[in-house]
Amino acid sequence: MTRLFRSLSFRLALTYALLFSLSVGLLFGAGYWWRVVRPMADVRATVEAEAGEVARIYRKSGIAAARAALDRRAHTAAARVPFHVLVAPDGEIVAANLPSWPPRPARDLSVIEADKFVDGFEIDHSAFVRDRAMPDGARVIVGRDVQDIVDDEDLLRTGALWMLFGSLALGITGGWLMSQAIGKRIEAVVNTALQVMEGDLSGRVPVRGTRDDFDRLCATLNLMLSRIETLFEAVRRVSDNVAHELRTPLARLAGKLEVLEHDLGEDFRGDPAARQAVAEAIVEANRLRAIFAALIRISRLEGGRATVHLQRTDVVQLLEDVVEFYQPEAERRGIDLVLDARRPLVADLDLDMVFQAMSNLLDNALKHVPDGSRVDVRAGRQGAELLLAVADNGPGLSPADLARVTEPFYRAEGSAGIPGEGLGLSMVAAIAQVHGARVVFSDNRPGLSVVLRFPVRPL
Amino acid sequence: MQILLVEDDESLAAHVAAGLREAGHVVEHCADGREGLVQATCEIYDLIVLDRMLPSLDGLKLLAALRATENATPVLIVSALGDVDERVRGLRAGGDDYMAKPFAMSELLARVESLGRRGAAVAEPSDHLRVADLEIDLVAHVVSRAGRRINLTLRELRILAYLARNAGRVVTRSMLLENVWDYNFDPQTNIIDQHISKLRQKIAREDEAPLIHTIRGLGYVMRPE
Repeated sequence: MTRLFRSLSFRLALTYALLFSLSVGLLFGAGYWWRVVRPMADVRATVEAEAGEVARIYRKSGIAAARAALDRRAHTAAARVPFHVLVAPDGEIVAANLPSWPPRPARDLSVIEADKFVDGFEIDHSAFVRDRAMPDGARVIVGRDVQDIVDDEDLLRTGALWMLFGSLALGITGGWLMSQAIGKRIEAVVNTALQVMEGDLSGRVPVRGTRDDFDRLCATLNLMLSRIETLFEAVRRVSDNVAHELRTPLARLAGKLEVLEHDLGEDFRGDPAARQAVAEAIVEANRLRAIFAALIRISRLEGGRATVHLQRTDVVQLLEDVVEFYQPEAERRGIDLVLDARRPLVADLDLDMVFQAMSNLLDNALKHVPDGSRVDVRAGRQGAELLLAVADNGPGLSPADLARVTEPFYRAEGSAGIPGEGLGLSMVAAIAQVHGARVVFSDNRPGLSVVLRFPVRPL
Repeated sequence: MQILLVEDDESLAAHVAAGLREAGHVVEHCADGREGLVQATCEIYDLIVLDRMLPSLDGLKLLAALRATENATPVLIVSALGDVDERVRGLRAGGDDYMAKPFAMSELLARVESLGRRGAAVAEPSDHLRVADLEIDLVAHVVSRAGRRINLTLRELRILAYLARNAGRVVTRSMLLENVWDYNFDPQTNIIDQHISKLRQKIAREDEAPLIHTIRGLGYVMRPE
């Protein structure tokens, strides 16, 4: 429901319905004034004057004269049928052409029923009357028929109510339908954007062919997506080709270096400096191979081309294994490598990838902390997330470095002399991305804390 | 060993074939996938070295077709598609080992040796391994040297068993990583060296002969000195 109210199209439709109701109200207001308020004011003036006149005659010439005046008035043809009642001070009804009247005089003018029977049929009349009590106890009621005005008033009131109800109902229904229709098209754009963000660059927004604003928007978006896809494909092709085209020559290069090393070693002609140089060249070739492998892997992960094999994983077992893998190195350097995780902790993960990510994080931590430091590996659940953390008490990173560590080949200040190509954390970020996880780097005061936050699907 | 090499890059194939022949193997070479499949099913080889990207028939399809004929010849896949996920795919398709290009000839030789032996050793499952005076009982998880019991962690036992099974042959770091750890991953540094050095300390006292030797730039070999 809140989603419906948040939708722009629905709010627009609702606003429109309210404005329409307001204009209907104004229209009916004007009609009411024209057909009810104004004629009533005219009748009121007439009746007041007539009542004043009769009262004056009564006071001046007595009850008989007043009766005569009322009779005369009753027999004068007029657009509005005249009504009157004259009651003597002793309660005797002297003259009356109203079927009934209120027992006590009203203070102001009032509308009372004045139905007439003609040939057995009841004709509705409403009389607008002035009810005057004379000082001697006599009562004079003078009025005029206002049935037409009362009818108009009823009609206008009922009409206004129905119109108001109708326009609101139409507005809300129309707004709901409109927001559904527009929402569907926006949903299609959102879904396509999500699909593209997840790595499927071939996603396109459906175009209806109605040539409306949305079609134009979608067509433009599709053009942009095509452009992005083309560019991305080009980059991908180049990097794939670079990797593949360079790998084979690299293999030949390494092979030839090996042959050279072999030859230099076998017949003792070779001088030690040349052998050393060849050995170093082989090491460099291996480094190149490692960089290629890492780069290709990162690009495949980021491009959404790596297949993720999610499987039910005992997270604690995985962490025990990765910690065990690094334990000998930690021991050698006098570093406390501590795992804090309690079973059961189960999640659907790609075992190899998460192991790789945790391995990169531990490798990174061990490389950057001085001997005798402490590195903590922690795991746990927090709400709907699985948290895997590696935290150390080493030198940490400056806020500027924290923001950039996952960029490929980025190496933080002060990491000169520490082996590595600056690809480890990029790979962690890429692995996190394919798992829908977030990587959070923060200051461990002192040291660095890296937390992988995996969304937990219900098991 | 009789080895079939299926590889379309002529220069690399010549280099690999030369290396294998120098190590004493008989090598036949095919540059085409379909031809390779025919060759592999007609003759009996101890090992097939298979490139993944081949003209006319992709390496993995060749492998699947070969395995469908119940041919169990060990297959070493060699590929420029070197990342860990590709390795997993290759092994799932029925490969026995997977190597990424570029590789060192020595690494290839080490793997070829290990695979060829694995093929021969299927008949005699060994719960008991012995290298010089070191004895490994894989069922009881007991390791002893000259009668002295040695306490090893499960991982150390697996490293030792792998080295002992390949005794006399070079075992590279990647081979250890792939066979002893149950994860397909690529460590950034040579952490394996630390595991080996711990293991060495445990199985050889100062007065005893070392059994695990380092081959510079390549890996380790286990042999009595």
